[in-house]
Amino acid sequence: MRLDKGETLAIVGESGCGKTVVGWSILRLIEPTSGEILFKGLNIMNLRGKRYGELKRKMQIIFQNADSSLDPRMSVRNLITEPFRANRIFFNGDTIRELMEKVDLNEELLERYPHELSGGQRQRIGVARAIALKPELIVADEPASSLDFSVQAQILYLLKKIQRDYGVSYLFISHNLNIVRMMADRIAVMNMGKIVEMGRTEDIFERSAHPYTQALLSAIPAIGSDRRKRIILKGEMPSQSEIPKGCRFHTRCPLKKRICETTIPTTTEISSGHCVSCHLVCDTG
Amino acid sequence: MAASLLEIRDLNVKFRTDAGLVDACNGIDLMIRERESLCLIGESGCGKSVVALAILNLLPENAIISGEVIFKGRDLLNLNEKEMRGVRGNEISMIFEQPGTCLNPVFPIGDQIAEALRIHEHLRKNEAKEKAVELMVHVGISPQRYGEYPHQFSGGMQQRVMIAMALAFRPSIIVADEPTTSLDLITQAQILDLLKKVSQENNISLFLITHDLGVVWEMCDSLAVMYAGEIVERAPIYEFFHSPMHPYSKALLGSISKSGFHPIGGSVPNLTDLLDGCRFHPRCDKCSDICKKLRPKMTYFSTRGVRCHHYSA
Repeated sequence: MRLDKGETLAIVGESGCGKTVVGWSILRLIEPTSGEILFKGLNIMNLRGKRYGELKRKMQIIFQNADSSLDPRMSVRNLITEPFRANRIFFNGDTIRELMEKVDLNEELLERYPHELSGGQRQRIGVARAIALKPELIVADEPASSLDFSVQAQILYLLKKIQRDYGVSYLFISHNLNIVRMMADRIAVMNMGKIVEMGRTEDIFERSAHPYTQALLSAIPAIGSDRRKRIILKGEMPSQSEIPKGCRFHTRCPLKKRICETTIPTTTEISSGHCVSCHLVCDTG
Repeated sequence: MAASLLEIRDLNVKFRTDAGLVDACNGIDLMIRERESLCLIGESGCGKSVVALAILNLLPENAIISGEVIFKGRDLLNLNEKEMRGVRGNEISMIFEQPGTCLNPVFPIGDQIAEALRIHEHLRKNEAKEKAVELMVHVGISPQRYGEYPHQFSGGMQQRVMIAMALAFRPSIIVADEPTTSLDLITQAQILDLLKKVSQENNISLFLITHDLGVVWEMCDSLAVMYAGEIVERAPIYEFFHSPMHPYSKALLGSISKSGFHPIGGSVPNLTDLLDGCRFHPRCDKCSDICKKLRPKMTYFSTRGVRCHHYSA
């Protein structure tokens, strides 16, 4: 997949489908088994030492769980200046003030510790740490899913504002399609470690072609939708250690054909930038 | 209209804590009819789980409770522990948010379902096992998994186990406190579908607690919105989504809408140190002088009620 400058690409899928693994691989928090990751044209898999360090500054992450990703023994001041210290970059009071202002936190909080903050404030610290070094790519791994809805909206609004101000790109990992719809320019749908459909947000929401995407969309408890018209998938996701033959979704697919059990589907571009890997789509298109 | 099954009247719950008295629930009035599904919605810390726990008399020792919880003509708050045990599970069942923490990790799933049957209905071992298998099939768990342990079940499957246990004694009400919050979308759809199916088939009323407006829409006939320990609005589902009345309800519905994010400014008030007047006034865009001074009363219209000065006569 590809992520352009200033763009938001969302990866959606069930828990355990591998969305976080993709995000972490990009930052090499997990070392990928094989493949290439190009950041501004450079294959980061081959970079080492100082050059990698410089590049890495441009890529940051916001973790899902702000409670466990902040060191409980560090004050807010230490937490938000850690990126500077770790990279030996100069900072002063103005830098701190500016950063706190960017994430709408009061300066009074600087001497507090994580346990004294609310979930929303903690996540704002997470955002401040991520944007401190002015990165060009931020991997946002379920940045709001542990938060309440009104706080969720505040954090997402903040992320949008930061994107507008800095032109940063987001790889936005989420299982909440309502949120993804508002955040993303493009969406990649993942099932069992594979991207099954990718396209612009309106392609996915209005012209989804893969049965898995359609099931995901119909699972959104959307207000105003017809309560009865729902695709409920039967059964559980198979184990990642016993991946089914053929199409990985065939065990749960409501539209399964014989070919799906034996042959892995190829990816077809059904319209500009809208790719699907499903036998049913290849047949008709 | 069906008869009322459970009625909560002027329920107040305060907690004694080191930080002072926490005013968790204030003047809660709610009613659940037979076969109705009622939803209580609100942010974390607004006191919605406290209401659920108060119904079943499961609040901790430091709680000061007043009011009435009338269920089939009896006030549950006046029952002693032994009488209450006869209500819990038999008449009112509860499903919690984290099914994993409610199951015993060292006993097989099937035995845990059967254990409840043996204790409550005094069934013999093989009778209980038969009934447990029946319940497992009913909620969509293969009987072959009878001997498996909780850690071998996914979150969704664990929640099915909890539903099986909740159904074991044909209760009249199931109280479900955020039953799908820890599950992902596909599993959530499966579990909600199951809950709806079993409650309709067995004529069970559902008291659902959630913070997800989408879930409310899917599941409920009517809802109550809670803010800082108070019910601020009660309405049938279609009327609520069509025309929310309370400024908080409006802000909730507007906070994530198709037109983008409109977060509600400010944050939830501290329940140990509440301001005078309406509890929502510091965050309300329609706040006027009276809102800062006087606590609004619930104003009732034909099918709905709202706690806001802007609607009182």
